[in-house]
Amino acid sequence: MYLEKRGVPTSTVVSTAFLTHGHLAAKNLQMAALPLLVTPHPLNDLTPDEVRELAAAAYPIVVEQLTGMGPQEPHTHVNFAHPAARAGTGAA
Amino acid sequence: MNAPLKAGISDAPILELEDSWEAINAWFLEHDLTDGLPIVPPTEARVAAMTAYVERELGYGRDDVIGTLAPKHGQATVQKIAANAVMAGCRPEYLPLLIACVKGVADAKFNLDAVQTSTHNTSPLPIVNGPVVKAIDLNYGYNHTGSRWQATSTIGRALQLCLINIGGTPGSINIHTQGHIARFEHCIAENEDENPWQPLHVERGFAADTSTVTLIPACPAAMIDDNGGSQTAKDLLRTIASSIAYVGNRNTNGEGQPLLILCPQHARLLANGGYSKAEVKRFVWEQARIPFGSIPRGNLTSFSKKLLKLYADFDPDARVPIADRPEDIVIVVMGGAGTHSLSVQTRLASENVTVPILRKDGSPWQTIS
Repeated sequence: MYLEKRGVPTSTVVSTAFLTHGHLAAKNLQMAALPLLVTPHPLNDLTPDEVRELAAAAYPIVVEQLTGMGPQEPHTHVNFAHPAARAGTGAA
Repeated sequence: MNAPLKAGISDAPILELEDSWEAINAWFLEHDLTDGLPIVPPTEARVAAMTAYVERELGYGRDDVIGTLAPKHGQATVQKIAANAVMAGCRPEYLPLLIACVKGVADAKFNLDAVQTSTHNTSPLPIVNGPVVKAIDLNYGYNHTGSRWQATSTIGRALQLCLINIGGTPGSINIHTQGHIARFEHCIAENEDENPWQPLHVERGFAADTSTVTLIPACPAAMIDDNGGSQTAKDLLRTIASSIAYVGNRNTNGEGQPLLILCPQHARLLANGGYSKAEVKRFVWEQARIPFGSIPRGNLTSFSKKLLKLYADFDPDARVPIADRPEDIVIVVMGGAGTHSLSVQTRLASENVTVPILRKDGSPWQTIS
């Protein structure tokens, strides 16, 4: 947020568990419109390959947020389903 | 209907609410300004009595800012602290200690933002030393972390209400995975009468007659049951050391400041056995360890880089300490009779902070009136 205030574009990554906090933290620092990139939660149980898959899915959003070339939503969910939530795994 | 009652509340104009205990409590609950328990309505008169006491005793005006509380970066003025103190049921003479507590959690070293917004089951634990303990009748004996003690219960509660109402944003704070019962209230005092060593504040360089509070980023305590009653200091040290370290203790990840709360009988046995407090810390640091190889590899992703450098790819039987240095371990003496001590793991990347209770001019506050 400090970088943004200094005119340096940023892409702020939060997982769903911290989305509310991310919005409120941005608001508290007078940057309510700070665009957030939202990943599923948790992240710490992903395999390295799954992290690469997540990064690839997040990349276009990061580029859009840094360049202002895409829709500037308050937050954008990465198109990446946590493996535990994917169909057929039996997980919710 | 009764006449409207004026209530003073932080960050808000004076509210005019129906003069009924039920209506006022319903309003505070509805606006997420409580811990879920009933509050004492913070009327202008009650808050003013608090701020007048602070002005007289400490020289702080009601608009003086004591600290900024994360994550909202709310400015903790004396008046806002006083309003929360009223709500929690505090007496005015508790305010100097409560203000010191707020100063402590606002210290950057404490890293309040992380304590409040991470999923860790952590809560600020104030440990009080010095004459203020007896002056305001804080509990340091039986059931000192428990209930039924006005100063202990209400000061601990008031600090939590300050964190909710000055520093908090509903939905943002308290997303601890299960939480911590201490989120209702936590405030304890050292049992200096039965401490065979220097009390915590003297160990940290303060005069014995200066009152202090040490804020610990504390996780739920684990009891160290020595119910057979160790007969020798060495037996007790062995019991303690083997009861602290385990893979799921955050402090095994390194560079934290774990807290050991010794009951008076345990402290006495150790001191009579010839051990200084520093030696007990050293023993615990050297012996309360787990083999590096017993930590599942996946868990090492959050392991201290500094400790990884020392222990990884070396010897799976090399034993990892619970703190970077012996002196990082905090030892205090508390509680009543019995042979039960407590091991408290602490949050990493948050340091404990000791704050003296000072007047605005920097002189120690030593009188109670």
